[in-house]
Amino acid sequence: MAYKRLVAVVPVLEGKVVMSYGYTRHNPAGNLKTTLRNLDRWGVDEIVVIDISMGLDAPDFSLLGQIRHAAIRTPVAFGGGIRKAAEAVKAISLGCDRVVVETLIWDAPAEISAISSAVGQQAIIGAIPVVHSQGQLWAAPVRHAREALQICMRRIQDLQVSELLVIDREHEGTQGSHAVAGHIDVTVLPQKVIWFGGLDTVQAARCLQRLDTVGVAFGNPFMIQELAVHQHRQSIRTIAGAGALRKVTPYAEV
Amino acid sequence: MPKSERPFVQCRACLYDSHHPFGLTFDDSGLCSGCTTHAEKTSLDWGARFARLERVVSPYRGRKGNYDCVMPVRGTAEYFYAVDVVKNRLGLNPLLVSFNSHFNSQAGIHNLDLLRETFDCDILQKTISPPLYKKLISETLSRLGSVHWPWLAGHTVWPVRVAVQNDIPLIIWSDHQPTEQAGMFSYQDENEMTRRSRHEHDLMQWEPQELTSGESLLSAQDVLTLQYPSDSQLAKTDVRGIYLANYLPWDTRRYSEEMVSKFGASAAQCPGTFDTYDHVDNLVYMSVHDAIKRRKLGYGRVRDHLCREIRFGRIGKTEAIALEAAYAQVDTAHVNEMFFSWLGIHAQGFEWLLKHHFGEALPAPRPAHASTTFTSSYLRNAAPLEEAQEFILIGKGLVL
Repeated sequence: MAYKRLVAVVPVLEGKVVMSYGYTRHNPAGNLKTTLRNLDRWGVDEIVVIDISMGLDAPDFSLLGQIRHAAIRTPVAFGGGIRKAAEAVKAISLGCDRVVVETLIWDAPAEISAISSAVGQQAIIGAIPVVHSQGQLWAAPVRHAREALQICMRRIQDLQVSELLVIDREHEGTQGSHAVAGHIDVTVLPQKVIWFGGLDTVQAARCLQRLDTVGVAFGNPFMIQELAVHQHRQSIRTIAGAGALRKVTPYAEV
Repeated sequence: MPKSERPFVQCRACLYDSHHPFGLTFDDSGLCSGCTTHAEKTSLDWGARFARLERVVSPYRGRKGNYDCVMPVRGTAEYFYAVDVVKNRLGLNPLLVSFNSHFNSQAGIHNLDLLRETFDCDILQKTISPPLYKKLISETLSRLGSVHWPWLAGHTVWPVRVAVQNDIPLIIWSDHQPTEQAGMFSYQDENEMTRRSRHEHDLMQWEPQELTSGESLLSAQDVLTLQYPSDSQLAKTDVRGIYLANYLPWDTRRYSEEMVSKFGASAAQCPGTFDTYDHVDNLVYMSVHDAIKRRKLGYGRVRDHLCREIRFGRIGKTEAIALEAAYAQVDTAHVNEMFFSWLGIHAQGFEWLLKHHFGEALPAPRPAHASTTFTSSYLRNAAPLEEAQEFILIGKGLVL
């Protein structure tokens, strides 16, 4: 049986890793190389690096150089500014394992097909920021107006991405306040899902028990505590069962 | 965007800018992350936060036959406040631990002595052999351009090693500098001590064992005691390190003044700044180290003090700029010479190393006249650090 994944999301702003709070406040949290190596040593299953610098019209390929320089074993997905298939190909060639697209879902879905043709659908994650407001869910992309999630569903129905990163945008950066997964029926989403934003270990365990879920992701909580990935993994395995996530033992070497 | 292409941003409120080594971020109004986080000191319900601290430490209280927690301390007034909170308000039995800087001042030795007597606490002090400490400083000065790295490495690892070795799972630190200066975390995050933060901010991304590579003065054996415990050792003890500043509106100046008045903690004039509480235990910090900082970053420790004071509303930005300029050209030749003599180098050699690591010195701003009303409000009850004739190596006055 394939294990589901415990994923780390690492937002980067102007070249710096940041603590991110609800997409509105960003505090400096260190450099990318150190952060990646730390998460790698803690045995996280996948790392999603997202460049959230404003006004990006192309990827910051210098970040991919830093990712490669970190020389880690954990698979890395990279997002931020990818607008063309050629940029996705370059990102993969520079060392990331998958790419994350968001704006393209609204701007140019055909370009996602082109990326899929170039690097394969398995190498693409579609990011969908979601907010819960006025009694319903809305897709809330960074560069576009909100639209009802039902409308967004039609948009992503045939999207050539392997997985969706569904983000509780308002609660990103907090713990225990995730308010999206519980409102989405397990049969609705056309692709498998990684849930992110506002999760605590109880909510994450509940998400992992869903058939549509392949992973749960944490951002800030993995930055603020020693051995945070181990602690989250252990707690989720206790709640959801040992089969929910693979077992990882803390490194014995200094 | 590569670093060189990023725009330079100056905080609209304090003196920091986007070149700050901790990597500040700025909001849409031009306020830096340090100022944004500092604003939480006036917006949070600190009574509720202290109640939260009591709940956090409650499981560790009253551990039979062992200490409740480890507390890193130094010979400055601020630590009186921290120990007072832990011992008298939280009711914990702390084991105080202190890592010897080898550059102790009279004020620092007095403060450490007074601290353990005032609070009736056991204290464990770690002194690395003097010849080895010299080797460490020689190596980090030539390799990294730092004389402070060995102390930072020891100060940040010794409490953790003590906790792991003695099965004491709680370490209580005073504050987290990257949060106080640069607003790295919200206080509500309740960030804890991590190897990552130590590696990045204290060790300048150099692990101790990396200092033994190539033609080094140091062997693997030399740096063993500076190495952080492994993840499995940390997990086995379940050790965690919390920061008091996440639960109290940390104000190092106000706390220090209270402790000077209440317990007679020593405060002394330091070269290069008006702050008479910060690092008064270390003769090299505000002299040699500050000279390195000025060359490396273009500003000295006085800017850190001024930013803190601006944020607390105790000084205006205009007056702060004038004060910083007034402290731009500090004569620390006497203390520097003590250090050069201790390490066996010449001033010219030191200058060569600074140039090698950080380039030519920028021209100092023109000395400015600044009012002494603000600076004279800092308490002084011990001899100025510039008057010291020697480093005090160990508690009662053994000199090296």
